[in-house]
Amino acid sequence: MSKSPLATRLAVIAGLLVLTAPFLWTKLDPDFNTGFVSLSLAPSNAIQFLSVVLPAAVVGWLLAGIGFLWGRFGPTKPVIATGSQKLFESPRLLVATCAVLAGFGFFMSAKFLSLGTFVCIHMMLAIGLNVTIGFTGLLVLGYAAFYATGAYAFALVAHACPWFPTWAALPVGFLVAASTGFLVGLPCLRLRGDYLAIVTLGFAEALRELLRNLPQTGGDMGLLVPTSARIQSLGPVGQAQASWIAAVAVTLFVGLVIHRLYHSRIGRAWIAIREDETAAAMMGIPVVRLKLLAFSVSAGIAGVPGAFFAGFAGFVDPSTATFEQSVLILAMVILGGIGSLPGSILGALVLYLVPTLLRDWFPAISDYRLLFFGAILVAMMLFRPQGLCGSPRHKLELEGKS
Amino acid sequence: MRALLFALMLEILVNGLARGAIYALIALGYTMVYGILGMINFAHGEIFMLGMFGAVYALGALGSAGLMAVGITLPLAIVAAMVFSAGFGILNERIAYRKLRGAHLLAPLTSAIGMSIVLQNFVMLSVTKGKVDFPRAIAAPLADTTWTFGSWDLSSIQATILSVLPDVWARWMASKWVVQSVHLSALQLLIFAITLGLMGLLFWLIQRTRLGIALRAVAQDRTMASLCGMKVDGLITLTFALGSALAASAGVMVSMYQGVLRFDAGYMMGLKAFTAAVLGGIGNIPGAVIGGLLIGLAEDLTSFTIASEWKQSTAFAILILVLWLRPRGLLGERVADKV
Amino acid sequence: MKPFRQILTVAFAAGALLGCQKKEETLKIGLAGVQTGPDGEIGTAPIRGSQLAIDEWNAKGGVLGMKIEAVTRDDEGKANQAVAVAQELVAAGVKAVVGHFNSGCSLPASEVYHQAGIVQITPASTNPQVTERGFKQTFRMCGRDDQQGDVSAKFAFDSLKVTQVAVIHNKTAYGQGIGEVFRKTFEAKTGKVTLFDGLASEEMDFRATISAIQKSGAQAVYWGGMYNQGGPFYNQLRQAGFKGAFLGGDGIYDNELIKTVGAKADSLFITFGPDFFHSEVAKPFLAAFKKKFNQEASGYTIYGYDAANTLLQAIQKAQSTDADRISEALRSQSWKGLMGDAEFDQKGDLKKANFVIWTIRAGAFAVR
Repeated sequence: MSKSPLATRLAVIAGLLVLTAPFLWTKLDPDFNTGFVSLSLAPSNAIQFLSVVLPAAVVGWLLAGIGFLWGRFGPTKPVIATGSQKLFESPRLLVATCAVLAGFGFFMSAKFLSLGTFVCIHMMLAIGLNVTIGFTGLLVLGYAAFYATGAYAFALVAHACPWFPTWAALPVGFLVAASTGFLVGLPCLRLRGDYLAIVTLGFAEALRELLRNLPQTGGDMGLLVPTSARIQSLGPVGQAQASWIAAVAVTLFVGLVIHRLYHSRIGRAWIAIREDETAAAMMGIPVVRLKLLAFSVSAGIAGVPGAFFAGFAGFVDPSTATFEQSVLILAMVILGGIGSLPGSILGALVLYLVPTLLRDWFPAISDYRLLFFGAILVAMMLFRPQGLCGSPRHKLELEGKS
Repeated sequence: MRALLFALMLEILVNGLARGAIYALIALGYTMVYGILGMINFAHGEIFMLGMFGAVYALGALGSAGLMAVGITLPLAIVAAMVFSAGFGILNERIAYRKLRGAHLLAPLTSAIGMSIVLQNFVMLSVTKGKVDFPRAIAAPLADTTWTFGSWDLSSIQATILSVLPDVWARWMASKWVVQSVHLSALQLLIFAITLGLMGLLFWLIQRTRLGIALRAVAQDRTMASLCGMKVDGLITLTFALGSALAASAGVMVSMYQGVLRFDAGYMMGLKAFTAAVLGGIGNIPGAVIGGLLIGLAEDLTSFTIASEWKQSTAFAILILVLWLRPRGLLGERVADKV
Repeated sequence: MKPFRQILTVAFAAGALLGCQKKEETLKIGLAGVQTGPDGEIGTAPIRGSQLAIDEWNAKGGVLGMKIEAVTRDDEGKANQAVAVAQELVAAGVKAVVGHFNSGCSLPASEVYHQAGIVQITPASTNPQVTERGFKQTFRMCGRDDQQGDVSAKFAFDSLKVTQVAVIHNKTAYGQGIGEVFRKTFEAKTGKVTLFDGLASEEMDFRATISAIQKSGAQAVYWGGMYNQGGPFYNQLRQAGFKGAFLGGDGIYDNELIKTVGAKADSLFITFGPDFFHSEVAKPFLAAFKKKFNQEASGYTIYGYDAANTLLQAIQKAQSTDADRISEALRSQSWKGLMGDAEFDQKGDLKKANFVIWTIRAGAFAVR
């Protein structure tokens, strides 16, 4: 570091301005008659882009500032983490929460019922991904593949036997996705973490390709789930309410299971593996077997919301396995806090609700959604690697100062 | 029989090697960064895509300045794209990776994924959601110059196959593997020439110069290299710049080869090039080249003998098989327990 | 205490009254389709067309004495998002929906509208399945894939006199759909489909497939897919020395295609709706569109415009916003639109397929 930090920073900013200039400030004018192209100045392009990005950056800085002040002067005890601890430790509180949330279903508009159900689906996905990324320290990039596996498993079963009861979708989704995870994890868990990331990404792409090619899975159009297998209305409870109540119950159940698992022998072994694999192996922990278990459990949990989605939306298609979907789930886990159960829940809530509501209020900026997701991933890694409610231990680990 | 196999090989070789050469150029960037930093630069595919756009913008600027001659504009555009992408590569490293150098490997990888999304969406929002056409007048002289070799009379060969092999197989072979003629375009020749030239330069730089020795030293042991007085930061920046420039040159050729460029072109290309790097043994430079060529060939073989529908799956099937059977790749060192 | 309570009661009553009045004043129409992402540009076109139609109606005083309110939602071209959007529109209390764009979105969304009992009229989803499931209130303003695959196949066999065709599609509901219909009709006409294959919709290098096409002895190629791949595919075919005809569906009818293939493109045949850009009836529409959105109307704009217009006319005729009554009204007569007369059959499809063959002449699309 011979140059001063300020000079370097200025150089970076200058470079950024110069390199992005052609895209922002000019416009290509292709001439299709001659086949040549020319360039003209087009500041309107840049103004439009900056008019969204700059305010968003300001909002981001403000939120970060509030977060900083909160960390400095707010309650020293992590509110959310303690709350979730209490929630999952006391069965009575859990049942009460479930009942209250379910009760809300009768007062919520249909829009928020469907939105809420989708939020629950994503909460389960984030919780599941957290098992590998957070607890065990394995990075899975193609997580949406297991979501799709669960969804397709249920859709195919429901097609084969129409008498299949809807509630049985969830165990089916879990089992099929978990076994898929087992098979995918088997060959590559011996490898370094980043290999696993790419293999799962490759698996997701291959799976999507498979779903698109096979006639049994309906190709690109996907499959419609027979009406009998979908979530039905029950007496006074409408279909939307039934879905919401079921979603809340299943989400809390999944959260409970993961909470118990995390605080069990297995969970402690996972943490040991994450912190130091060699040391863990020395202590007699069967590293590969436990990693495989984490991976299968995580995959299985993705199958639950998958099957739930199939029963709720009434159809499945290959777009459930896209990279974009995987990134969305990853961003939820990272924003909330790697390794933190309440963090996953919070991350899913924020990252699903905010873009959807923004899209309705300011349709013009909905195209910028993914840009902001990407920026969040980078910024979180650089400035707050432990996420919104992660523990300092994760922070040290991610920064490599353990 | 021999003529038949020869024709088949040629056709697949020409198309497959052209694809493979491009994968190899991109794979070099993955492998170099991995070799020196031990991280997967997930945003490398986006750097390739930026190179595509950089070339078209350079051609646009030259066009506005009144320069039209292909012989001048094309080399200039390639150089401009390489500089442009190298700039993005350096900035990328500076902003998103440098701070995370010693961190747990999740951190730089996540940051790289984020960067990849940012770059892709930046181009989508600032240029276009649709496609941009590579100026036809620049690509056409090369792409439209084609030579057709051979116009074999294949009926006797088909009859031979049908008489020698069991019925089902013979019909399949006769329907799939018989080629009447082989096409080769000037553009494909250019792709081979540029790929070979750039790779030659890279090997020379790494194996024969002082700079190359320093790069290899940093890859082997960063701390030790820095103790010996090498400017580690600068050398890492150089690695990113070199890899990005190679990817950009691949980008220019791909956009000429395909005729169009899109903001999401880098994702699939990057994934396949990464597969190529893993297949050859990540961190190993000749391995990346071999891996790229093999993937290109395998893909074309798939669309030729089975169906184009399964072309995409080939690369991923290879990736999973390689990691299962030989995780270190064809030429790589052992990685299984290097944590 | 008493006066306070009275004030409260009055306030409540006034509030309730205002609330009621506000509800009665507007008729909500959902406009759904892809507006962002790669298909965003082309998907926004029908929505803008519908918007223009609704504005015109509002300027005339609305329908049934109510102002019309357009509720626009983006399904991102994704099926799961389409379901969420559909549920949201139902919740918002829309009485009818003009949308969605992609067949893959219309299919799941129509299930939601069907259950909620809402009229849906799609301006662009051409997959046959959309109206094949016996939903009474699902309509489409455009032709069906089997109609356009059919028109193309007949044209190839009868007019171009080719007997061997290679069919390549982009593996989507749309592309594979029209490809299969083409194959069926063409084979029924005793033609031979020498190759039937698909490519991922992001693939841009067609050379291996082209080798296979040439080897198969095809005299022409039918492309089931969009313009973004169609253009490079055409160029690469020509570069490889393939001189036969290149046929495609409405997915490649876009000015972007001409930018890619250039003005000299020959033997390129596209099925699309009738020529309205040069018709006298469409002139005011084209001018109004340019004025409102500051861009030229594209092919799909007019579908959206006609769909919304037809729907509102039917509501006017039914004198009701009830889905069954509107559906009945829609089927009861022939509607005048910019694209000509439209009449719906029992399934909700147009009785008369309005596909004609287009080609590129002097750097622009022209009816052959």
